[in-house]
Amino acid sequence: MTSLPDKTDSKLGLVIDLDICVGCQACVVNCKAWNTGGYGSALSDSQPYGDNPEGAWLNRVHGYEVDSGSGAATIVHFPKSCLHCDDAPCVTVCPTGASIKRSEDGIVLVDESKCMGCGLCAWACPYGAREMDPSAGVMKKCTLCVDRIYNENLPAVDREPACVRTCPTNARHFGDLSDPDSSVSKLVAERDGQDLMPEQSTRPVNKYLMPRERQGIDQLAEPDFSLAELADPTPSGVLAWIDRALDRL
Amino acid sequence: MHPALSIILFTTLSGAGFGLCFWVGLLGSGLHAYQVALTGFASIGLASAGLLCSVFHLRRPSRAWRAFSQWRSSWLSREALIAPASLAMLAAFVAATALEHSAAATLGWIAAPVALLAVFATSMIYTQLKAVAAWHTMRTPLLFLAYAISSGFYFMLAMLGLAKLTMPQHGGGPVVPDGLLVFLATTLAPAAFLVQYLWWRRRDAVGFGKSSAESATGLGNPGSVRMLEPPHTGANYLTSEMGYVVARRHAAKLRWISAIVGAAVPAILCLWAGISIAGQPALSWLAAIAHLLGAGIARWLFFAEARHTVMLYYQ
Repeated sequence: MTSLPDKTDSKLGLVIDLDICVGCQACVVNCKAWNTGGYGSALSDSQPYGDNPEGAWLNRVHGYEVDSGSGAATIVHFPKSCLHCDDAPCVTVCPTGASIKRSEDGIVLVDESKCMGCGLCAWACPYGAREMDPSAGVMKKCTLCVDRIYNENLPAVDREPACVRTCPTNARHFGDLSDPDSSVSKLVAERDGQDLMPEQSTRPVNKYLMPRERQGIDQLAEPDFSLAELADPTPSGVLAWIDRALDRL
Repeated sequence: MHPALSIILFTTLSGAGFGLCFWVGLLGSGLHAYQVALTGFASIGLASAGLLCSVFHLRRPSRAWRAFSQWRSSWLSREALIAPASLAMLAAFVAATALEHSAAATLGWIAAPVALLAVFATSMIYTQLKAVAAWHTMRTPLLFLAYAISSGFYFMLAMLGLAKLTMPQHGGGPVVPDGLLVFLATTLAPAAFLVQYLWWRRRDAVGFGKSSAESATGLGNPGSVRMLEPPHTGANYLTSEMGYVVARRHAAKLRWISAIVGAAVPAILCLWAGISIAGQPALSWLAAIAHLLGAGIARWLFFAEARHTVMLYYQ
């Protein structure tokens, strides 16, 4: 049913630390690798080695330059995937019942066997979290690795989303955001985690931690050597004599 | 937004079809049974052709039947239910008229508002999308209804012209004073484009609504945000679905073309024909087709010019 649940028992989601992310794209690749063999049909590409490679991805990392108006601009790597919104507009617009928000954990999922590929949910999502699979013709989105997090065939340490598991800098955190004592909720409280586009009233579960203020980056110190001198070294010894001789010639 | 031909045809043709349903239901009791049958079948045909076009937009059309199930939350699902219901009611009206049943007029008066309800449901598919600020306004249903009522009217005139051509012995006509008919014929098309003008004016001012690259990334507090590197080197589903720009380049010209073809041409033709407009098949068909063409160009821009918040991540 594409009506939203009044309340979910828990709110599983991600907390993404923009201060720490280095933009290595490991989460993007591991997401694709896991999900092309996991829940639903393969995450396909069209012309992967051709002139116009294109494909469905559930997680993409943008790069932004943030200019505060004074001092050096900051580069921010910005991973973006489904935010598993409490008021998910993608769910209510679905005409077939394929889009659902689970009442037990708040995960927004697509039942691919019901999806007719009209694409309206992708239009309804303000974040661009949904992409049509080019070959299966059904809508793809982040499942929060629902086939990992409850999977008892995996060692306990691997029961978290592929993107979180693979992040080499610990910029991604997974947990229950409805529990104020969970590690993710504490992180959000401590670092004032932000909603993306709060004005769209989607009430996202995923939170973003903003870059902390850089210390002293405004005062770029004068280097005590000149790079230009390194490129044009002052010769000594025999070379210095040859240099002078050639100058006089 | 990506202006898929299937969606432009779906919204314009089904709009014209349901508009014609509205007029047939409203005025049909004053018409001869032959005229009701002709206009009624035309409206069902136009609307069905439009609905059929929408199926071509689906990647898995074999699952389209599931779209009847989610009427509690989804406007697309509501549209899928109301549209055939409206056509069934009009078919009942046509049948009752042919059988000279006493309930015919009542059936027509029920079918008329339900046809407008179907157009309203179509428009709400787009109106409900908060992520597309240009659409998220009650001016959008007004726009769709205005086009449906006007294009339906011109097709009614055209079909009455055809009825006269094929069976001249049946006189009859809508129970509307000639003066009112000419007034409607000359003003409905310009009126629809007046609503379109008001819609365009809001669209030009609204941009992405309250959203910005800063709110989209949450990075507004540190400062202004500019894209440094995109997450992928080519196009993707999002950029080809939401980032359409080609029609926008010629938007100003296309707006003028749509208004001249869709509003000025039908109004002038109908003014020229005067009170005999319902009896002039050539002129009334020309007016109907011109108006539909103009509305179709405007509908193309409706999609192409609308901007989706996801493009904020690509600026």
